[in-house]
Amino acid sequence: MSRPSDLIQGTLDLLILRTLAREPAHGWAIARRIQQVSREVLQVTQGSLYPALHRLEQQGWLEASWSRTETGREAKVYALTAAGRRQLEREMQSWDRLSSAIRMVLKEA
Amino acid sequence: MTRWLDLLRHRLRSLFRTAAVERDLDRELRAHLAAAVEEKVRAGMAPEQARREALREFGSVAEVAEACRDVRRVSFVQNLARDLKYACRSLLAQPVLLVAATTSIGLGVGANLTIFALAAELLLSVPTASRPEELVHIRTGNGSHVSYPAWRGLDASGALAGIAGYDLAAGLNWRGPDETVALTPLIVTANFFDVVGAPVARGRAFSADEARIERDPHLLVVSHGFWQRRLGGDPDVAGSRLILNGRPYTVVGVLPADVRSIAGYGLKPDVWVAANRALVPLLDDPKGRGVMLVGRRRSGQSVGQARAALAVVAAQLGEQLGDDELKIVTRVSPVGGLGQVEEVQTVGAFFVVLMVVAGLVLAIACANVAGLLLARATTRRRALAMRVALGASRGRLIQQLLTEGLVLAGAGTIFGFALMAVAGSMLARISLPLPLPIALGLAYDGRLLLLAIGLVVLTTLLCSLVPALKATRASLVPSLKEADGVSTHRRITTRNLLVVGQVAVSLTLLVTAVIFLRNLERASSLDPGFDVDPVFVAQVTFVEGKQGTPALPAAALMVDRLRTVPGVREAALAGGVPLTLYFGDWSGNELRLSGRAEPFHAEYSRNFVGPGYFEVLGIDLVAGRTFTTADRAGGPRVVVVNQEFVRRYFEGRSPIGRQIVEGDRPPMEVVGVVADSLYRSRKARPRRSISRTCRRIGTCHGWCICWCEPTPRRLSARRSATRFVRSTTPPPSPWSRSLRRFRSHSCRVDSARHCSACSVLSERCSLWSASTASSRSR
Repeated sequence: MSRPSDLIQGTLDLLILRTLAREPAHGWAIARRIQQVSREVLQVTQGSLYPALHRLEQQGWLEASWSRTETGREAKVYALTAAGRRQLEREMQSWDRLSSAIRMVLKEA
Repeated sequence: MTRWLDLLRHRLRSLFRTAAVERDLDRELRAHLAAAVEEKVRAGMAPEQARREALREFGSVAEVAEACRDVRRVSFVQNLARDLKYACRSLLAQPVLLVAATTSIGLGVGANLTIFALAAELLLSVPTASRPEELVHIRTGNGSHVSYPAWRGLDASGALAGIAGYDLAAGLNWRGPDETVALTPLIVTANFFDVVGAPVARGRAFSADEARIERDPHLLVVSHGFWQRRLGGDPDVAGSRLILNGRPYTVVGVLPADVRSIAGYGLKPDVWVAANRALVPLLDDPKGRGVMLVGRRRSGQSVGQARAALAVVAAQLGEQLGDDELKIVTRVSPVGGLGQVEEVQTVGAFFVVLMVVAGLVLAIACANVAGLLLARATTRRRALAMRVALGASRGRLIQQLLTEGLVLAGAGTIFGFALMAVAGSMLARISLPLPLPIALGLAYDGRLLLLAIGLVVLTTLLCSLVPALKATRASLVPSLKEADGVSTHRRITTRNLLVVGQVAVSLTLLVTAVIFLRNLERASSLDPGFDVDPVFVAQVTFVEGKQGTPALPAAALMVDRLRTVPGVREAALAGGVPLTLYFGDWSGNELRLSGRAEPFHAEYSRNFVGPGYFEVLGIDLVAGRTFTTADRAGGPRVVVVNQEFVRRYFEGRSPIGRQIVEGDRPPMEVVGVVADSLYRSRKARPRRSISRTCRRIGTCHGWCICWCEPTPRRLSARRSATRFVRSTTPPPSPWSRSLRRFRSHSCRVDSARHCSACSVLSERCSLWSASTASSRSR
């Protein structure tokens, strides 16, 4: 019974960190935003989103707090910490390297 | 750094505030669902349908929650706690399994622990001293002992911070309130306590200055055991007097209870006596090897440096004293640890064999338990399959089954410790019929704990890994249906392998044990060349009065009187009796025989015996005559040789009437030839032997009296003879045993005056070579 994983492990972390770099958000909003921005290409399932959020929180890259949304519901809002921002930098760089490398291979080979 | 702290904080929170964290998770997932529903409603869906749709999209809430828990990584600990609880409950429900498994593992683990502790005590224990890591054993030449002048020279040279000498001696008689008791003293040089720095519980130790030889010191420190047993634990013992060998000695202190003496091997001397001229007649003789050396390194001096420094000094000193043995420093090794054992290979090998046997026993036990668990897993297949169906991963199930194994292994190990405690107290209570006190304490220390933990882990894996893997591999559906399924008819199954292995190992052990017993049995039924059963031996030590002189007439008198005791058929005096600790000398000499021009080197065993000796032991006379009372001091020097001696040196011709010259001593005439018999141990081949009649021997003050009772089961006669020897004046300190019994027990340390001893067990178990190492020939 493998868990559904639409995204490569690690890539999801990057997407979450990037999304939260804009503004703090709760889990559902993060998933929604990734979906919208990617024009419905990237579907983040709950099964991978929440474990990822918890993992990032444990690493100290995210900070969670309970607050109320504009519609009045309570939600656990995640925000990037300073360490999380640095981590985002690192992951962006390595992603750039990786994707350009892949692109090169696809073009040239 | 802060990241790690963060991580730790989160993990701890997850671990200890489980409820809060769980509530948090629940709230979060609920909020997510609510948001999803809200969105769908906003898009125009009916609330009820929106809710169903959202749930469908979300999938299994429980699974997501479980994944989040996994991320927190503490689920392992929580699962372990739950598994432990479950395992205990389910095992308690099956008491037969629990008892069987605990007992098997307990026996295996107990054997391992006990043997390890024994080996650690014998091989690795550190003697009680201050900063024992600085102490080194020093040996020169081939022997273990050096002369007192050599010790004095080495100590004065300043090669090390200090060098002390000690010698485990025999034959110190203490005139107690009711009887005279033979004590085992550690005769030490004056600076012993200054150098070694053993702690003193009561009073003080003697200093190098007050125990100087020139002051003729009569000082001693007593062991805790002696103080308790013999002096009644008298609190004012320091300063009191004891009469030892007829002279007053002053007790200056009492050592603590758990002292490990520098002599090692669990030897527990009764008293530590400062060397003086009366105790050590050879004090000024550079040839008389009387002390073993222990030195303290200077701070910062390595063992290598210490050895180098000693080598220079010893070479000079050897030249100066004319002592070739002293010139070469053969060993400078730290006390404690394997380095201290002189025959580390034989002793080590012995313990390795024991450990392997114990390991095999544990392996069998584990196989047993694994078999039980395997059987149990089969009956539980349905329950396991159900758990798999409910979403438990295989790893999770294996973890739970391993936990059961852990519980069994833990319980078994606790039982093993209990067995070891019993074995330890039995070991402590065994009193060997020996003149030397030995106590082997099993130490419960960190090393043992480490081993126990290792054994628990190993046992757990051995017992339950295979059953766990096998049980969780079972295909799900047939198990659920409780059908037997299409069982795999493989020829080699895990259980078969297990049984085969178990039988193989058991058989190996069984065969080994049988061979061992056969050997032992054969050894004890080997014909020693004389009649063993009716013979009794008493070792009598006379040290009251002047050294040695009155011993022979007194002993001869005792023998004469003993002959008159009812039930005693014959009695005799002897320097040694074969197969006991006191078996006579084994010596090499320049021999000259009449009729043979060239002197030659010969090695043979030598004994001094009185009239009646051969008759007592039942050694047959082949030619000539044996000794008579007429051969006593003053008569012509006569010897009796055995057949092996004749074969070897007289080329089989009759030696009667021929003369033997030992070195530069007066010639002796051969008057008789006796049959071969064994001497030192059961294994030894017939040895060339020569027996001289008892004459006045200056330094020898210990004699064996042996006697013969034709009907050994008549206890009364034996008792009366024993009582007679005990009570006869002058006060002897005999210990007598039927030779048969004596032999089977006589396997510990000989007195330091004799070379290494022993009989049956010594050849079976090289362990005993360890115990005799301290008294090796010099």
